[in-house]
Amino acid sequence: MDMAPPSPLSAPFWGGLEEGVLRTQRCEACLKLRFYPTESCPFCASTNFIWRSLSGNGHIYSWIVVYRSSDPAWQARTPYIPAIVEINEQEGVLIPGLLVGLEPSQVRDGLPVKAIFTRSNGRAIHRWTPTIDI
Amino acid sequence: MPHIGKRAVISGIGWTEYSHMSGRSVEALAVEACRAALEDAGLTSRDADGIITFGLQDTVSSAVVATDLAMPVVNHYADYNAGGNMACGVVLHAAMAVEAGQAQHVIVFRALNGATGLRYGGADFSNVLATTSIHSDSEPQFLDSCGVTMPLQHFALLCRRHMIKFGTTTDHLAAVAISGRSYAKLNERAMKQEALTLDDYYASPLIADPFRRADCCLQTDGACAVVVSAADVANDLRQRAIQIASGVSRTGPRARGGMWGNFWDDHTFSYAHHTVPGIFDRAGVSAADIDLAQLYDCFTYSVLAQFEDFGFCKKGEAGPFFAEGRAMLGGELPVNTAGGLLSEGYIHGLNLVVEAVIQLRREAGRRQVIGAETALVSAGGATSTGSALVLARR
Repeated sequence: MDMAPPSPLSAPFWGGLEEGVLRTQRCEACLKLRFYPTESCPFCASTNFIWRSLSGNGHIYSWIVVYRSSDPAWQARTPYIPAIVEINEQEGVLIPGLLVGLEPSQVRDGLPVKAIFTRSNGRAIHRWTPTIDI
Repeated sequence: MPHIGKRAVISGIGWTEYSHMSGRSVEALAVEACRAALEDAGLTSRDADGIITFGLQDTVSSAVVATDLAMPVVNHYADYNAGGNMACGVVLHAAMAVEAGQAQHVIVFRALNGATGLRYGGADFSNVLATTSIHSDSEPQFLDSCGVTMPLQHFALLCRRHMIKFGTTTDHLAAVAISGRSYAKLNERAMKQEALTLDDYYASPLIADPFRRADCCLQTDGACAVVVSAADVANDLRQRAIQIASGVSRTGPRARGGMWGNFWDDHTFSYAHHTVPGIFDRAGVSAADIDLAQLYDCFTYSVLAQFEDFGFCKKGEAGPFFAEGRAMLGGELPVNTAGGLLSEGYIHGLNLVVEAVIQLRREAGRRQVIGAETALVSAGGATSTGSALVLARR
């Protein structure tokens, strides 16, 4: 379960997690948010951007339940639920993360979730968890 | 509309055994398949003057194989560091090379020990994806870190979106696997020839819900090859030349991400949506003219997305189409008539091109689609990038 190191471009995202906040880039030309971190805006190609803090709220866009992994460290954690979350701030901005705090059978499309923050391999990382009673 | 003209044909095809353990080097497999394709065409390696391949750190280079074949001259070569999305693109490249006058007979091959060498379902492959520019640096940072490390997990995430939006079910996925297997039973090359029932499908273990093992393609040791020739010289060769009527490698905006594309507008659509109408227009046909389709089936779901996106039915209707058996032999549109990557073997999609040629030459025996004139072959699964060919018997 090695975690890829932050790149110079993505360091502010990971730094945000250390402070308990999710951040994405926002294009300074067209004002659109984007994730993953990219060198230029995929909508208008501007290279000007700032990092913006997010509410940490979103909803489930897609998910899977992993029962078998070829990676021994992940296999030891099965079953686990990787989820793609669409953030509340902008349609189409998707942030992957592990979904925790519910059973696999309880996951639904559109389920409201929020980011919580934990540590893994000595680094801060976000998880998604439901904001409503399941 | 740019026209990939009428001057390139497939003049020969060849393959090795598709097995779980070749016991041979990838190089040996590649050379055997290339020799077989040349012999099929009635050519020798002295006639071939171009060679193209693709792979992901698991193949041999075109120069190695050209040397083994003692090709006197290599007028055109290319080596793609690419996945199955280029399995048709390499044939398109060969056709363009022929049409541009770069070469006269171009060998296109794919060789791998996908079962005993680098396994695409294995942990080593995750590392290849992360370190060889197949992915951007974002996939390892943001997907691997939440346990999405295997291709099937990416595709299962795509499939889930289709289930959410269109009500696609696991019964529909099963139908794709069962339909493909119905042909594999009639294909002596196929690695999986035993019957597959719905009960068998549901007895297959869940790997990443919604995918079971039966939703995943095989891991195969083997190789195959085709020879792309200039039509004016192919008329004198041994086999009926199969025309490369059109080819595309085309996609839409924000296609970044080899599998799960985090910027893709609508994850229920694949690259195939962006190949239409060009893929058909350039061939002078419509989707209704296609007699059989070989659709890249790295996973069952990939077939559903592409089938819809090429326009064979409306979005959301592919699952019922397969469940009703309409893609089986005698159905409205036979799909993956050799059993595909799910049942025949995984030669990274190039074996789908081989099968289309066999069908159009009408050499498919008990699985022959009667009157086959025009075939679509695709490469790329349900993702944002891919390529496709229309092949024709004319």
